[in-house]
Amino acid sequence: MNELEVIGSFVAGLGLFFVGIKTLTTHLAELTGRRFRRLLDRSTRRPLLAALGGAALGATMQTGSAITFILVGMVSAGMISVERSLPVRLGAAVGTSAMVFIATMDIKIFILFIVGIAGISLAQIRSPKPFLGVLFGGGVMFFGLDMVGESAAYVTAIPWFEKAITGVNGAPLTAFFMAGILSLAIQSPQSVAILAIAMTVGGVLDTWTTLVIIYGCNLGGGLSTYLMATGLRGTSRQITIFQVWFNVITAGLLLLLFFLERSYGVPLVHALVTSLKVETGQQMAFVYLIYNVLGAIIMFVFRAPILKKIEHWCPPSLEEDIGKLQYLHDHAIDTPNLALELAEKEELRFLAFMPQYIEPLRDKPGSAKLKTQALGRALNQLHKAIEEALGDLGQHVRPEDSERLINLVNRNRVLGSLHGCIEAFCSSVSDAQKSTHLSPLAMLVTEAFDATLGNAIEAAQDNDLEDLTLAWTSTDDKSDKMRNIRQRFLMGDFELSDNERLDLMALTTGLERAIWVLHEYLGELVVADERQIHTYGAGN
Amino acid sequence: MSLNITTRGLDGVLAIDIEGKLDTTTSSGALEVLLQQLQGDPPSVLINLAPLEFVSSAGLRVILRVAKRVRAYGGEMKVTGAQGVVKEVLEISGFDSLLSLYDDEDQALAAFN
Repeated sequence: MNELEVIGSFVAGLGLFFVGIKTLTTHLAELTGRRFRRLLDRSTRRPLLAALGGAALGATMQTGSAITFILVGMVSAGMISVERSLPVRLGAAVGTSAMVFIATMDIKIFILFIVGIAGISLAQIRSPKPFLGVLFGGGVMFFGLDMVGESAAYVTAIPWFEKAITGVNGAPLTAFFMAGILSLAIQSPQSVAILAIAMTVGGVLDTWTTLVIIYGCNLGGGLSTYLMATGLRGTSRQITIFQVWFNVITAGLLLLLFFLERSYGVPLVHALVTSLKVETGQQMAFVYLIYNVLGAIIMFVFRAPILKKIEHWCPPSLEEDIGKLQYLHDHAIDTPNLALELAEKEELRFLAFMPQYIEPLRDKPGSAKLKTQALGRALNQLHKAIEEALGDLGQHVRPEDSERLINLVNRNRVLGSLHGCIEAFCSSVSDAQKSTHLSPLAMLVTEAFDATLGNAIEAAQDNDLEDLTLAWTSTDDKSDKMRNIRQRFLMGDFELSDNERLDLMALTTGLERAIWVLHEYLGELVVADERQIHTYGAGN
Repeated sequence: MSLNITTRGLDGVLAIDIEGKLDTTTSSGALEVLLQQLQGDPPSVLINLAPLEFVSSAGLRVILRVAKRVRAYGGEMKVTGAQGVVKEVLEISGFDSLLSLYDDEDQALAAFN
């Protein structure tokens, strides 16, 4: 392999890694059935058990960064909380040390089969199950990492590179930083550690230098995970920052102990491992294990205050904040009566986000679409979560509560449509704002719809039958009014271009539809109120 | 001048003229002023929108809130003089069905019980 091929493999490996992680995360989100979430919830409830599971995962998968990204995917998909994921990641750190001990273990063949079988199945099956996407994404991710590692192995075989490595012998700080940079570049601290251990056994490096190389490569590994996560936001980023803290604290502490031992002769890590009645290579492998066990213990003990600090730096993203259920948690399903009330609160919460689409329309014309993209994704996520929760509730409610549940399901369906209509309406307002002829009308209908929506939300929240009925009346058919406006513009003093005609049509029909669906939603509330199956109100 | 609210007495009816722009900036102040005018629970209130040039969603909801306040103490409120964009916003929003709208003051005054 020439140098260009090495670089090509490295870049291709990174590309596959990123595509793999994206595919994995997307399909993990589809796997987030409530039953699966509850299983995961139970298995990570005890931190020590979660850490043991993480250690097993780390020992099997041999890559801490991939485990970090799998956890990131699970947190993003709402499968587990950051707090629950941390013991798993800490356990995995210890588990990955196994690779240094059994450096021969190779999962590449296994990964090739996974990518092949999952990929063929995805292409051939008409409606593939999400787990196939998870397998394919995970496989591609590992394959990419393997390509990065393989191309890096060629780098380490270049004579000048080996010469540079031997040059650091006896210079601990240089060795520490070089190991960090190398590990950062090849995404595999274990590989750097194994290389250094092999050189120690071969007499190229002394044990003191290998000690700091092991510390440095672990720190570099943590930083590489952080750099690969630069596109992440919110809670997903919290895990990677935790990983950086893990390595900075552990490497810092062990480096301090190293200088204490080296300069003042205090018997510490070096004395401990060299006193072990095993070969030099294994003694150095124990250093790797000590690093990860010590780090895991420190971070496990102080995980709560550290996480609090990290949460302050990386608050949940808009999608995470809005997109998750706030009241209707998994445990509430076991108490159906309470769950019905909470579902009602979730639906009202969903409705209350709708005016956030209107506000950006008052800013710079045409800028609203971009600003509301994240909101749209978050609300789709929330709507799906409410839908799933109501589906689960169907298996638990008493027969006498089934009418109330049906009403809630209907309302949620209408809310989904309302969300779509408001998105479409706001998009048409945004387009109309670009035309000098249509922008005054765009402003007028925006203000009118905002008032209607605000009044409807207030009535829904207050749950007063009279106000609800009035709001319902105010949202009756607007087709005549819209037709008149269209006629006025089409027969007006100025001639509209073809695009403007289309924008006018989209604007007026968009408003008509949005108000009609709002009317349908208010109608469901009036029905619920009249039959007294709608119990939640602002006063409750 | 962005918003000006003045009152008049019309045969036992409290007439409130709203002039200028009732938008996000002026609406909270306007609500405060309007609610102050209702402190004595006047039984008949006439809101004159003829001098109003523009009304935003926030402004519309101020008018509706005043109407609800009057209804709450058993009074009667009529709205008159809405024209141009103000009238159109009232119609599109459906607020014309929530408020008693009249084209001119005489009609509105005649409609009070």
